[in-house]
Amino acid sequence: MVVLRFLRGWAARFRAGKMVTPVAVIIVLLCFSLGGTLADSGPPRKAVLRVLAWPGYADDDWVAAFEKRFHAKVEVTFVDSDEALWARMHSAALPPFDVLAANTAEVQRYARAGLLAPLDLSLIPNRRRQRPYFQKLEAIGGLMGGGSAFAIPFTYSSMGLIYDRKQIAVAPHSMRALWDPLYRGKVLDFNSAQHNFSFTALSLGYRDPFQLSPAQMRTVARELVRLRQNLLSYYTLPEEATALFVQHRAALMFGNYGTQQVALLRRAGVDVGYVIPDEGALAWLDCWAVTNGAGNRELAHAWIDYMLEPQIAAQLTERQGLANTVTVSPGEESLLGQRLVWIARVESIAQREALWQRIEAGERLGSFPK
Amino acid sequence: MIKLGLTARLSVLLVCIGVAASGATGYYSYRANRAMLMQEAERSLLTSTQFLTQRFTVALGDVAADVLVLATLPSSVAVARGEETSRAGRARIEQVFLQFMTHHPEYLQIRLITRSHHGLERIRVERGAQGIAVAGESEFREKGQFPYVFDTLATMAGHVYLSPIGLTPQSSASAGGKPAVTVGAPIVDPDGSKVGVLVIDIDLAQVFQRLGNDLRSSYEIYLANEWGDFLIHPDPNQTFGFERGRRVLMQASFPATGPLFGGGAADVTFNVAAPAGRMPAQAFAFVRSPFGLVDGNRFIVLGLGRSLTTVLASANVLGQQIVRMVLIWSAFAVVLAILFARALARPLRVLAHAATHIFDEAGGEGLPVSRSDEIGVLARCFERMRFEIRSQMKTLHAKQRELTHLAGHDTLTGLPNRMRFLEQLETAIAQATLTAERLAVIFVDLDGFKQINDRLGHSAGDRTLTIVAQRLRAALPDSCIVARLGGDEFVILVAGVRLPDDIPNAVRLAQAALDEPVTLDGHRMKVGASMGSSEFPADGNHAEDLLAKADAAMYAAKTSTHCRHLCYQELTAKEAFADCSRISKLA
Repeated sequence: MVVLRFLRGWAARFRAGKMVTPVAVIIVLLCFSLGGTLADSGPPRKAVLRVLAWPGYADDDWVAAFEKRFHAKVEVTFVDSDEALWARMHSAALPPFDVLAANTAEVQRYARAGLLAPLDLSLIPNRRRQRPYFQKLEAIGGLMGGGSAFAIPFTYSSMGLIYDRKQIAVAPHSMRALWDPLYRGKVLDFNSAQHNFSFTALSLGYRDPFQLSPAQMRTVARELVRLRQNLLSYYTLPEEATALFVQHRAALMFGNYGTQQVALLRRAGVDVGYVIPDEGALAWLDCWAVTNGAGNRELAHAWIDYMLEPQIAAQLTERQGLANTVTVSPGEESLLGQRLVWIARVESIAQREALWQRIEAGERLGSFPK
Repeated sequence: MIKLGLTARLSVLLVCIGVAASGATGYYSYRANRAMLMQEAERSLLTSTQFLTQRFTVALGDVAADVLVLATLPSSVAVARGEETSRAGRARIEQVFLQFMTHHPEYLQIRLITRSHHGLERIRVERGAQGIAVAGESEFREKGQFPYVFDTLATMAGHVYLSPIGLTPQSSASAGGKPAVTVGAPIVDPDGSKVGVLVIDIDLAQVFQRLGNDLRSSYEIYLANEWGDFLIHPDPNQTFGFERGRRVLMQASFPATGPLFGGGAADVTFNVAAPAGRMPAQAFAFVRSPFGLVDGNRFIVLGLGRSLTTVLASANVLGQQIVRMVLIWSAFAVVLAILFARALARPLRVLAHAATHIFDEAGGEGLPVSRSDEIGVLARCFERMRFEIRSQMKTLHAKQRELTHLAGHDTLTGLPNRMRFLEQLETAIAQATLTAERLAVIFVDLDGFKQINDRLGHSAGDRTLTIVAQRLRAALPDSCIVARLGGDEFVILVAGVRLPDDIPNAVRLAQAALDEPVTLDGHRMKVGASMGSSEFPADGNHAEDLLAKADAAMYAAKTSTHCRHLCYQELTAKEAFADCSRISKLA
């Protein structure tokens, strides 16, 4: 009888095809209950630091060392675009993060939106190790507000001019070289609305490349059509640019990824030079800031301070090819002050995007009014 | 705990073995069948994928042929050159382009682009929301900066350029955001210089829809470029992740496809379990194939996925049948096991019965002695053993009976001895007590025995005793018990005394028997005897008591000269003589 009943049960399960499911469920439940009790019986909770950053800004070994030193747990969330960063910051009433990394333009935007907490600079002693330029926060646009500092510079990159030294003997002095008919079909440009308008405006000598008047906008658009006519192609990714540069023996390139791209090209065997034009080069400067949703502000400050340590700076440059704000590279200090133009909010992203789409698609010069 | 018999235990064991065997066989055949079906599904899926890949290559070849045909039209050269005289030719080409667009729903646009004017479009026929349209002069754009222009111009005459698979621009007349590929061919003038390019944009989704028409609708198509970025995926959000700065790689979504991108095997098949439960939900086949006619390094990975529900449905049907068969066989096994266990246990039970009833005459009946197997051997051995034991026991019983007889009887006369007599007397007393009867014990002592012994020897004495015993036995009724106490002393138990004369009668009969002379070796010898009697219940309640009192009475009689028999009561009444004379007179 027992045998029969067992058989019937077995057959039913067999038919349902879930013979192992109950066993699995029991095991899983057991695991959960065990896990729960284990977790409950653990030591008192560690402080948690929630970091919102870009890939390469919070490597695992840095995080592990920080966790060990401060007996804290660090939860890192990576973002790959300014839009994603904005979305993450707005995913809850209070930003669900303690510290974030953003460029100067974005920092300005977050500060205005009231999402950042004023920094207590005394909690960041490693600032003294930074190069003098980066210590003067008030001189860098967008980092201060209402007399208090909101962000500390961490890393930066310029968008200079890359040229093939084999084809161009003398280093160009201006981005205008991109328009030179001498290099027609040998020029590469980055496929993006904002930076193209800004660097063209800079090359035309406009005072504020981020706030263009309608007339300036029209001029710049027509200039960009002319630039397109001089191009080989547009690129999006640094690897793509390198491939085009090598395969088609390009001579000049707007280096959206700056020194990172130079390193890639040199690795590919191209003898390239990198110049910051006389009119100045666009550059982004990523900074660390503390959100107003920070649960543990001291820990957040400790993170920023930790990020300014010399070995982190050195590893950042070594691993990512990005310039840091601590190590001194001689001769660059003057360049920082005068010729790097930190990107800022532009007058109208939508307008630039709309114009750019037309330019990139190949609309003729005639369709852009003077 | 209930103790199970051998039959029950053997039945349970056999049932377990039978059920386990049929269950295990059923389960493994179900598993094997299922695995086979899945393998078969994967194999057929792989064939479909390879077939689809081939057809895709052929389809691209067809497009390349179209591009080459259009690029080599004489009017194409004229239009590309921008000759003013080519108005008529231009209209013709537009018609041809329209025809091609009509017949190839996967063509998004066909363009003729001149090399001059920064790659300005000369003819553009495109598929829009309102159908196929020929673009006007004002809508022409400069396309020189696109690889499909400068790379096609770098292509040799008679060859085609194949772009990487990308997305159609969002702003184009079509819905946009579709996976597309551009095929181009240079337009070469009679001098051999390339004056323009002819390009066709193809909607890959359409291509695969057409190619996959004969595939089952449940099949899902996957396509990835050489880096693994999804270009076609059932979930459009997974495609062209790199366009949104978030790469979605095939080798990450399906780790089994890793070798395809690492230069390993050219195809893989596998199945993926559904998130819930352990049933594999989908089978996949992925095939790597070269892509692009310009250089040979590029490749694509094409994959098909299909739900295994239908495949496994048949496995489950079989599974149900197997379950049914297992149940039937189990029931069969139960019956068989019980029958077998009983068949095996029956001879054992017969043997056990025979062993229990080993001394019964019928105990050996039904033993399976005629069987030729081990049970038969056992039964025969047992039967022999039984016979041996029974005969031995019979002898033993006889010996025991003899011993018992010897213990209770006098060997010379065959009469009960003193011990036996006392037992019988006790029994008789108990009996008489119940029936309220009287009984008497008569002590007999031979008078002339000593003289016979002395004169004629012990042998004659023994013969005398034997004769006396026979005579007493013969003279007295069967209800009386005659015993020899030893020497020349005999005793008579007169049971069931109802009449007052019963005892004197017995005394008289005994005296008469003993007074008869005995002839020994020619001598007639007179024996005679003195007797004393005691009565129950008048003289006592115990055997020994009665015997002692009879003895005492006998002794008094022997020493008296007047009488040869005395009652104990007479002895106590001191009227021995009178009575004695009375009795003697009676005798």
